[in-house]
Amino acid sequence: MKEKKIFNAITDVRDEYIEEARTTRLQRQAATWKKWTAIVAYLAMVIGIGGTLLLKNAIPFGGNTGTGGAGHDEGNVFMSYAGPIFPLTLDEKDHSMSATRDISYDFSLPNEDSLRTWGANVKDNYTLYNHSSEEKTIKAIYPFTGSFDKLKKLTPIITANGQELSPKLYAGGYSGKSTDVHDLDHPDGSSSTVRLDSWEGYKTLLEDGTYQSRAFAPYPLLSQQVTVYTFTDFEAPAEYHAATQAISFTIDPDKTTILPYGFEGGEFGDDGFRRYSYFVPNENSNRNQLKLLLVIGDDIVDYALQGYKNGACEKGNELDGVSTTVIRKEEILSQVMMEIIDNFFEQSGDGDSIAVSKEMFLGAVAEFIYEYGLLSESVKDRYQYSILEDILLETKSLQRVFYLELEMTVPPHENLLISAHMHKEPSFDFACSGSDKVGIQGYDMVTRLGSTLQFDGLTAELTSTDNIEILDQNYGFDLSQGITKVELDPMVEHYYLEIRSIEE
Amino acid sequence: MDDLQIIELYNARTETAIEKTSIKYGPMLHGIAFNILSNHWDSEEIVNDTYSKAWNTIPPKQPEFLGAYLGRITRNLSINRWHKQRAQKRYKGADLLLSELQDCIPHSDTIETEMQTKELVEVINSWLKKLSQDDRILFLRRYWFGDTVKQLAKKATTSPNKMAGRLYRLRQSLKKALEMEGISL
Repeated sequence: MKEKKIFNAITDVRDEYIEEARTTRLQRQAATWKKWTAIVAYLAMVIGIGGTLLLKNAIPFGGNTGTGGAGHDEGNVFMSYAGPIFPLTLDEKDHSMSATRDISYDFSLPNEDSLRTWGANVKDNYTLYNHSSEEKTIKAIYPFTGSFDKLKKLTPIITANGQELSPKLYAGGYSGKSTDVHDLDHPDGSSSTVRLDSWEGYKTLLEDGTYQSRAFAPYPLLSQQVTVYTFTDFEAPAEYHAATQAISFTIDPDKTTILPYGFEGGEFGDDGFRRYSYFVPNENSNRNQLKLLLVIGDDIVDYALQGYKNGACEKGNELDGVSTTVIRKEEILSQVMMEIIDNFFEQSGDGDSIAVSKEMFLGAVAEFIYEYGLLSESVKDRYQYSILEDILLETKSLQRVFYLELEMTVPPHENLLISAHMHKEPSFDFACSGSDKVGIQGYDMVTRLGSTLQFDGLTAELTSTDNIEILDQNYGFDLSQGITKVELDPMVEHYYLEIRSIEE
Repeated sequence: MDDLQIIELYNARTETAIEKTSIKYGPMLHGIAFNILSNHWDSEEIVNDTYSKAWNTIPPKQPEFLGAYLGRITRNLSINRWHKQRAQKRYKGADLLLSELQDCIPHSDTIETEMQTKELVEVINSWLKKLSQDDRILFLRRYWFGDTVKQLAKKATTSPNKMAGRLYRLRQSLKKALEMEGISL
């Protein structure tokens, strides 16, 4: 392709021009209206669009794994922080209950190449004591970090006296922060996301209990009545591979909110003008066939349909022969969102990777929309256009704290053994980063954060250590001396361990 | 920390050079990679590969403009990755930027000689030199850094529509410059 030659040649323009462009701001001009367009990366096809207004990257960066920076006073900071292992807690403080905790890390898991260890099998065991003369029925809660798309792998198995339980799962909200795409420290940035990168971040998140309380609260309802415009029967001249169907109308933004799904382009005018567009699906593309415009509030009126040769929805670029059938109906938002969630997972190929019910995921989506999206009191820049694919993708993949709740009975003056078995992913630096921490796996735990339990004893143990070496820690293990089990001080808030697998 | 200090860390083989580089240039490099690859994890790998290449090439290299030096590595790595991934039809990547640059291809009736990339770079450099500073910055922000039209419009406090029009005129200007050189691609 000839344009590739130009694209490659641009790479090598003079350094001073690049530096100039890097350090100098564009001159400001008067703005009268806004326009956005997005192509959802995993759905999009290769399209030729000269002089286009379709902005694939209107969806900002996919988020950041961490800044590798502040707020961490012990151990390394990793580029990808997995989050600590939390302690068991009770739903309410009970002075007649106490516990001892024994945690073990097993490093027998092979890596993909079967040579090295990657990740650990963790057994987090608790012996709960009932010091009273009455039988106690308790609600125990076990928190863990993860995301909806990794739940199957990361959800702990909980047993009580050896019997596997079926605890109820609750999901906390997104645990990270909003930030600016180019300036991670921007105080008002809300165009990107950044994961927590230290245990102190989790401490700030969890220590006042608000986050956990919200996780256990019912999800907000999407009970709004919406008008749904469904687009079907797509037609376009076959020779135009990027033929685009646009719908335009004018709304009063104070009275009408539009949520598009399956659209790749859009324009916002300050006068209420809206134009949404999609590349016409055809049998040779894998473009999503589900195209919906959800209207909350006053309905749209007098919409116009227009076809274009490509994504540039401009005068002179119109194309005859582009058509669609538009069906209008009224539904409850949650109902149509269920249909969209089905389609979303079908499109992304993750249909069987979600370990929760569709209803729970819908609840998390609703929470996300109310917290960050157009139903929020302070809409984040990242979601200002209400593209539903953005909301669904981020609900699925953003890091959060989950809670497993189990109800049990502890007889008077007796104890109960509760165990959490889980695969724990390590914190790590990316391969080829040049970092001296490449290949190092970080594991850490917190001893009291978020827990109402009183811990009378705490031990930690390493097993299957033949293939690892310890590089840094504050546990007190000494593999060379055979010290693989240590007693810990429950009053020390945070323990960390950094290991590397030994190549065979 | 300024660039000279960071380069001194590389020269001294001090590994904090990577950390300092990451703090100063990490977001920019991620942006360049992401604007080509549209994939967060791949972009993260590319940025890390960039650090690795910088570590292996400084010294002996002593770049005058560290940002441009690193950005070029990221851009090249990203384009290479994009080619591979595109062959596997994994994602769309830089197609949008390429499709826009189709506007710059000279008409075939102007062909005299087929231009080598090095010569093409020089023609583009000459063309950039003749532009106003603001147009030059705009062109490179779009086609070197890969900033979206929306981002550029926001920075210039104008509408995306007007910004797209301005970019279109710049592409037409480059096309004309290439045609005046009698260039075939």
